[in-house]
Amino acid sequence: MLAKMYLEKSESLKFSSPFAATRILGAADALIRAVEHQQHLDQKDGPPPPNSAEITRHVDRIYFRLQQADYFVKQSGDPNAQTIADFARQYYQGALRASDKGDLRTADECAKSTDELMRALENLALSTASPPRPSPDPRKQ
Amino acid sequence: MRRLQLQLVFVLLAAISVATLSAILIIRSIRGAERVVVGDTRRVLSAANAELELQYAERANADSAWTTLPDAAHDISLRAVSQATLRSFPGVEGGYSVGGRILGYSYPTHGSGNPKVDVPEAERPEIESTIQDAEKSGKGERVLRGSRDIVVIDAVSQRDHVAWTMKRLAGVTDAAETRRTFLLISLVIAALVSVIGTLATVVGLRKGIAEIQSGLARLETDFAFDLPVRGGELGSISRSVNRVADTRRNLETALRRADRLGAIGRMAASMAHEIRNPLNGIRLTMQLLKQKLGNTPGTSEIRASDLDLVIGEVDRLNALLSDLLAFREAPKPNMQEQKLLPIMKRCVELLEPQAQERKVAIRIQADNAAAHATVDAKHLTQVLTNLLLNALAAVPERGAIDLHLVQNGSGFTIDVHDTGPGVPPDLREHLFEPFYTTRSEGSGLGLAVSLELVNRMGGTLEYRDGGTGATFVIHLPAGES
Repeated sequence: MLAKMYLEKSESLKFSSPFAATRILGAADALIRAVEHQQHLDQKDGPPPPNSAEITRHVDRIYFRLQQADYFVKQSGDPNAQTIADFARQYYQGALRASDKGDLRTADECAKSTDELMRALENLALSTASPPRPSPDPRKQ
Repeated sequence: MRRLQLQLVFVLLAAISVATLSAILIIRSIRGAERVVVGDTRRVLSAANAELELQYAERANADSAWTTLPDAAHDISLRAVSQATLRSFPGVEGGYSVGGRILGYSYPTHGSGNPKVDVPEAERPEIESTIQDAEKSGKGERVLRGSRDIVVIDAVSQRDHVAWTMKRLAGVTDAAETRRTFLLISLVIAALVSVIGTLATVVGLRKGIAEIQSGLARLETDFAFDLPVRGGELGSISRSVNRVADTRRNLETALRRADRLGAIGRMAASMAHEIRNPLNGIRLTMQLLKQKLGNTPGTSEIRASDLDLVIGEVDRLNALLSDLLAFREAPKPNMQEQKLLPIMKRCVELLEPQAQERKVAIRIQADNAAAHATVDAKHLTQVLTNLLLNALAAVPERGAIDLHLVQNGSGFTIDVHDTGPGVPPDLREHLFEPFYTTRSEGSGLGLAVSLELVNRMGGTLEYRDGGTGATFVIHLPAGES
């Protein structure tokens, strides 16, 4: 639902604010990917998980990414951002528990979902940035 | 003197050395403490920069398009990274520089509650120059010493960006620095006061010792000289030397008097024997002649009285000889435990007729009427009689003489005070010299004999200055009982 809403928002901003539209589109894409990772778990398909050491490194990395969640939520000003951040934390906890249990597949998919949710949050935050200045037209010089 | 000078020079050098060493130690400890704190901060900033670098690299690896974000977006994304990173480094602020632009600044542990996101403008020029240093040589560093704090900036460069951090050290130059400076100034002042005090002591001691030295040299030839008395310990030394000189003068005076009295005594003994016998012969002859004249009819009464006059003069010469014989090597005085008050009363009774004739009151006062002393009663009677006779001669009509018996710790004193004119100061030192008198009818032996007799009893006799009239004081030691 959120992804669809952001797709529509992106579409509406495509001409008026193309940079923001691109970022919101990126957020929608990230949300869809997060869901897809969870679907992999339900359908028991998807690629095989990496080894335990790599999953541990991944979990450590997303822990650092989660530290940025509050900043992104605040920066984005989006009413759904906090919900996304909460989901990201839940998936991180899921990844941590699965990693501790040795359930590498679940840990891998939850970690990836967390990554994607953080990417969605970051894109929402970046969408608030002022658009880049257009490059000067060399013909006018 | 030379040894004292060396000791004082040593003390002075020691004081200067201690002050200098203390100042050096404090300055070094201040600078050392600052170096340690700044050194620790540099290590913290290096670690923070390494962590910023690591997170930047991981983020760039995870998303290759991330590094191509426009500045505004890149700034937001980098701030998220720097906030999460610097949260583990209290007091540290910093961010990145990409393409010469400062991006992603944050100060997550700033005390205001909200993470600070604006680059501090006051330090911006130094931050930028540090970044430029890092871009040129891979690493940049600044230590800014302000009036209230020290700011340490550290930057490290990678291929396309620079990570930089900064920390303020407020306690290093604020109150702690003021306290140290105050301590140092106090120490230097204390050292200066110590040095000046030592110098003043040296100068004062040298001057005082020189005065004492010259005074002692003068005392060798001038017995009447007194050392000038200064304050402090040197003054005590001068006073002690003056006391010794005074005692010496008194002893010499007493010795001269004793020598003189001894010579007079020996002369008197021989003269008394030689003169007394002819005098006795003259007296007997005069008495016999008077009897013969008295029995011969027709002799004049006037001639008898002339003989009485001669006999009277012979008696007076006899009395003078008795005084002179007192200087003779007398046998040991007959010392016995005696009540003093009855002796005093007897003397007064003996002279009462003369006192009444001149309307002079002689009063006796005794603190202890039962006072006992070991004395020779004859000697004491003679002494008191001499003093009372002198007083009677000195006081005007209707004058008064007071005898005061006082018991004290070391014995007894008998004061004989009269209301006469007193003894002029220039005559006092001759008072006890034999044959020294200011009266035409006096022999000048009374006080000299009295002094001799009192001394034989183990006591002293002196003239006491002060007040009106004259006061002679007899000191007698307490008896053995």
